[in-house]
Amino acid sequence: MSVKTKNFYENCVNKECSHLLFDLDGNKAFFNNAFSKNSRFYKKHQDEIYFRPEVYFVECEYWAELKIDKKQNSIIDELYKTAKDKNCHAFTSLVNNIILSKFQANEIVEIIELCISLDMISLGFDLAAKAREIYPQHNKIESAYKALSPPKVIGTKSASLQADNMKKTLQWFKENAEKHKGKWVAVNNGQLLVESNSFKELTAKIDEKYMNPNTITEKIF
Amino acid sequence: MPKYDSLLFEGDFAVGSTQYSDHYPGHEWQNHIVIPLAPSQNKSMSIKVIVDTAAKWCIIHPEIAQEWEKYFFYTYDLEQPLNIRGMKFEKGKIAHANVVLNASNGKDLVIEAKFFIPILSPDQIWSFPNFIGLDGMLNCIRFAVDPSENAISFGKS
Repeated sequence: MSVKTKNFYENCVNKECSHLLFDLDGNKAFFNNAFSKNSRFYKKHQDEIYFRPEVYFVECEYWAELKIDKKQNSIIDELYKTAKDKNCHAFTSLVNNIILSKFQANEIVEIIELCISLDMISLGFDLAAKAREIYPQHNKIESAYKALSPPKVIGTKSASLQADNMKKTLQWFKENAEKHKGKWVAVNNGQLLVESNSFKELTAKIDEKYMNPNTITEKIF
Repeated sequence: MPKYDSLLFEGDFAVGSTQYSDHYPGHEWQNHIVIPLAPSQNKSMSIKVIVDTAAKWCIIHPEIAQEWEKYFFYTYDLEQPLNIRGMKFEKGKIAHANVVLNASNGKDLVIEAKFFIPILSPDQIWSFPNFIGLDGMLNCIRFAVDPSENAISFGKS
């Protein structure tokens, strides 16, 4: 970092400038959502703007001079690192301590997906639930919220299986599966209805009268 | 009728039960609890699924998922890769579907379940059974297993 850049950065921090910026692997400027989107700087550079919350900066015209290597310390990088290391404890702790409003919607989506990649579905859902309050219009966050919402019982209906039928079908699989390895089969009442190389073909071949839950379809590995 | 059904039904623990098989077709060397599952639409055939409390998602064969496409909602396209049983999927979707735990005694249970739908790359071959996992379905129901009768009973949690 040049002395000029360093001074500029420190000056910004000391003044507690409320918004923005940094990078830096090089010449990219990053700023947060509080930055005015009507500013000349934003309009000029909007295609290259990314969002990071850690560094604060006001005079964006100087952006090209900033080469502050904060990337390693960024929260998102840290989240990626803990996710890669499968350090779920550290990851959870980081997620639970982030201030969501400092992140852009796309960054939150990234974090939600990291939760999913670690099989931390409830954590991802909680995050999406909080994020949709901050970004109510964001499609991806709304979509993640709905997709990650917990399963629920809708109701009940009359039993659809006939016990004897099912018993015979289970017996058929026990006795005959080996002979149909690699095939898709449909079995009802202990009788093989159809076998096929694909599920689509199988379902197309089945007679309408067997289109009910007592017909068991399966691929035999 | 399984021996303990009346007790479980009257005690409001379960609403329905069915017989399960111990093995997934073609996986005779492994013991599982395998039950029928179907989309809640009328005229839907059942598939076999393993009840897997160690799994997070409900996952079905991609060919079945393709045919079930019309039943899925709340679909979310994943951008991060996901590992399922040691296999890495660069692409996939999360989606919900209303499915039925079919009963041969008592009542069927209709559940809005959550699925992971893997999208296979050209060099990937799917070799896993279908299963229903904890976060995808099982943590919203009660279920009890009687191995002496191969009976599984289920109800709303």
